[in-house]
Amino acid sequence: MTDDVLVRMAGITKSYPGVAALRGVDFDLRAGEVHCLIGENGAGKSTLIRMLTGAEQPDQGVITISGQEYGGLRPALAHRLGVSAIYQETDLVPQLTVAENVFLGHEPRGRSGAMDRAGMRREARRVLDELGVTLPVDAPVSELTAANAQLVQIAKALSRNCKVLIMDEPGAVLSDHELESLFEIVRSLRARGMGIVYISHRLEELMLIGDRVTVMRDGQWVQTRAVAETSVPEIIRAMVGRELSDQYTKTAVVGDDVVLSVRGLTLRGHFEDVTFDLRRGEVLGLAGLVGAGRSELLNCIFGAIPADSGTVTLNGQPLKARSPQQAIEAGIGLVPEDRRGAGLILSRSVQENLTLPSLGRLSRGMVLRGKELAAVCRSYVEDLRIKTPSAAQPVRLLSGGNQQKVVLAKWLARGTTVLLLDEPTAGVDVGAKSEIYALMDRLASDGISILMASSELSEVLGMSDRVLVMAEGRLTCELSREEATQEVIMSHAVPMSAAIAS
Amino acid sequence: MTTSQQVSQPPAETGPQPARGAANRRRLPGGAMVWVLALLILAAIVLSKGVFIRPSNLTTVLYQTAVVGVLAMAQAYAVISKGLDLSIGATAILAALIIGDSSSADPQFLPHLPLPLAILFGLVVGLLVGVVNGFLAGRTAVPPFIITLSTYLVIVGVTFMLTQGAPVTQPAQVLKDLGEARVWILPVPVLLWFALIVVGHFVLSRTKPGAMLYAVGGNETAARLSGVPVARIKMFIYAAAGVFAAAAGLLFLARTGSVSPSAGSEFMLMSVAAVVVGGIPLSGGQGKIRDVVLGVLILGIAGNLMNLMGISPYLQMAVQGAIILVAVGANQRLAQGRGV
Repeated sequence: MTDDVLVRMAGITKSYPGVAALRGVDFDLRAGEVHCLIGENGAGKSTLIRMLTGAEQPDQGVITISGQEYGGLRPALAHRLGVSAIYQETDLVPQLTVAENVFLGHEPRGRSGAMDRAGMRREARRVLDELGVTLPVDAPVSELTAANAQLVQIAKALSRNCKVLIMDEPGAVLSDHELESLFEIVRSLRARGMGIVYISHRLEELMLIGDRVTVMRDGQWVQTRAVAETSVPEIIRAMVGRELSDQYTKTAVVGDDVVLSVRGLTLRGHFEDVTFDLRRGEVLGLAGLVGAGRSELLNCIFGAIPADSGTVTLNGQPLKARSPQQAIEAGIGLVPEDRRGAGLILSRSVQENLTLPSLGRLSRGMVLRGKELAAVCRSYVEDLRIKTPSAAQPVRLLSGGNQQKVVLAKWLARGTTVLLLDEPTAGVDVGAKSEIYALMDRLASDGISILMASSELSEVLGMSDRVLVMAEGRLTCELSREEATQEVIMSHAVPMSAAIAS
Repeated sequence: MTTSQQVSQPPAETGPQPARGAANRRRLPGGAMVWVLALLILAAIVLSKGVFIRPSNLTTVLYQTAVVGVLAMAQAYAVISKGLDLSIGATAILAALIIGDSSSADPQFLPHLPLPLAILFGLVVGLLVGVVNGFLAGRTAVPPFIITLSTYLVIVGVTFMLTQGAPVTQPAQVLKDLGEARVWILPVPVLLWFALIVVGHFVLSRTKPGAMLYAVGGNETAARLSGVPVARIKMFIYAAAGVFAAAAGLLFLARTGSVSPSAGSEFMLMSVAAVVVGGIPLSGGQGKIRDVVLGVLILGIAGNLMNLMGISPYLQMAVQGAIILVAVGANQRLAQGRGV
């Protein structure tokens, strides 16, 4: 690590009508370091980053990049200065090829002024080689996995001579294995003298990749420490401003009776011959790498995708759910991985979202029972402590954790007996995470059975009574809570045909 | 469960709320368009030197607006579901022709029917068109825009084949009388429009299909995963639009006493205009009947004012185009202010 300061942000202040989003924040980034930025949702991380990429200008404060002071940046200027950002939602154009995306907006031109396609593909291949990855440069980005799409974004930044790379939650869509390869790339970029701002909710990631870590809370700088000199508990304390007792709450209350029984379920191209039982009050973890077929399995049980063969039995009755509607009527609920795209109707209110699956129960004939709708909503908002100014608030204005609580409340209000959770805490901040874990534990105690697919191993280990591991569409092993460790799970999650393109 | 927990929450975690102030602003009944309407009325009174506010003129405005008013409600249903119904104008004309011809003493292409049956016939045809649209929208991946463009062309073709292009001019006398009859100062067609506003509003805001309609328009995937029968809801939306369109045709026939197969090609466009001027986003999942009514009134009053001022019909069209652009632009500014 050198002491060349690439970026220095001093006294950055930004207000929106009614709120001070940032109050006198200081931040600096040196060449050849990974500087982690962490804080709960709403702490001001994204706002600070928007100042650095020129998306917004600070009300007060100075940004110094490579020795030059600026009162505020514009996106074009930030680009010229070598600042690039990679966001959770990729800003790639899915229909264009890898090479076209890498050079989007600065396509190499031939002598005639026409686009130099051959040169573009050659350059794209060179940049990807530099990253040490092989990707088909002519494939449309829509055909890539989330992990590879992220690599294309990094390549895009490199092709622009980027000196400051901002990564916003890069690990959120990756399996642990993919994350490891991403880390290798990040380390090689660091070795080249690039400055990297790494934003993540996952503290474990920060401890692995970070050199320094800055904690923000309520729009203010709290502390900056060398990662080697701090610890996870200390960071959590700084983030939430209070001691967070053990994140996971787990009481074992597994009943004897099998509630959901899956036999030989197959969806060609995604998973094959999946067989397992889920007991009353059990939390069954489903671990595996991204692409192992977990999401598809949950969607299949839920009736959202028709299975090719196999049977599902619910409480001894064969369940032939050919649509989510039928599965819901039988008492199954799905909390999908893509909360914003599949879990919620973002433009509609908390109440409308929360009561949507229960409308049949809460109406007389075709006519809604307005008072009961409001009462149901109120009771779950209170019970799950959903933080919202009112039941009429559009859910898009809620934080990730509160949105997820609304999705869970939908199924509780419906009276669900089996909950299928797909990455239940993705994009949820630490405080809300432990609330969701506590809720899961309470639901299990109430006799609800939970099947939880998760890429976060600590979550699987912390919450599951039993763990199923899936690899390449097959269940590769079943572990009791006592047997399950990171090592055992990972050894079964990595495909045996270990030919993985990194 | 307890309210004390609510109170003891740290306020810190609610995150930035730039929307707070905007949300308050939004609670003004009807939002910005109410003010636009109020200003327009004021301008109309001043510019027409008081003629506008005379009861006879106000009645005329409502009388002329009723048909588009009903069509725009049909369109609003489609737009809220993130669709568009290009066929409603043609459906309205088809229904009007059917009702007019079959109730006439000397029908040209249909058997003679007593008026109530003739009306029922027209409404059922509207329903059938809607059911076809809804079935295709729910069961195929073809966008509603294309589906209803096709049915629109089919209906226009059928209309011309039936009538040979000749207008229907002799509907049952009772119908014409009803079209001119008044309760107090309000013409019966206007009252019918008002009644349909109440029905349209009730269905959208107080019934299960109404709630599901918003869900489907807001996010079809999430709606399906929440157990909403998406195909059935789409069937309902377009069926309702078809019936509303046929009702608009009935109003048109009652008011004018005759209907030509080529009439009302602009009806459909005016219905879309009213929906967007009222501030309903084409992106779906949002909007109320109140908004459409405001949109219809704004366009109707602007048209009336220009008539009173003796502005040429050609210039009027240009001005209406400008109104649409300005209204949509203003609504989007407001939406951005809300942090969308």
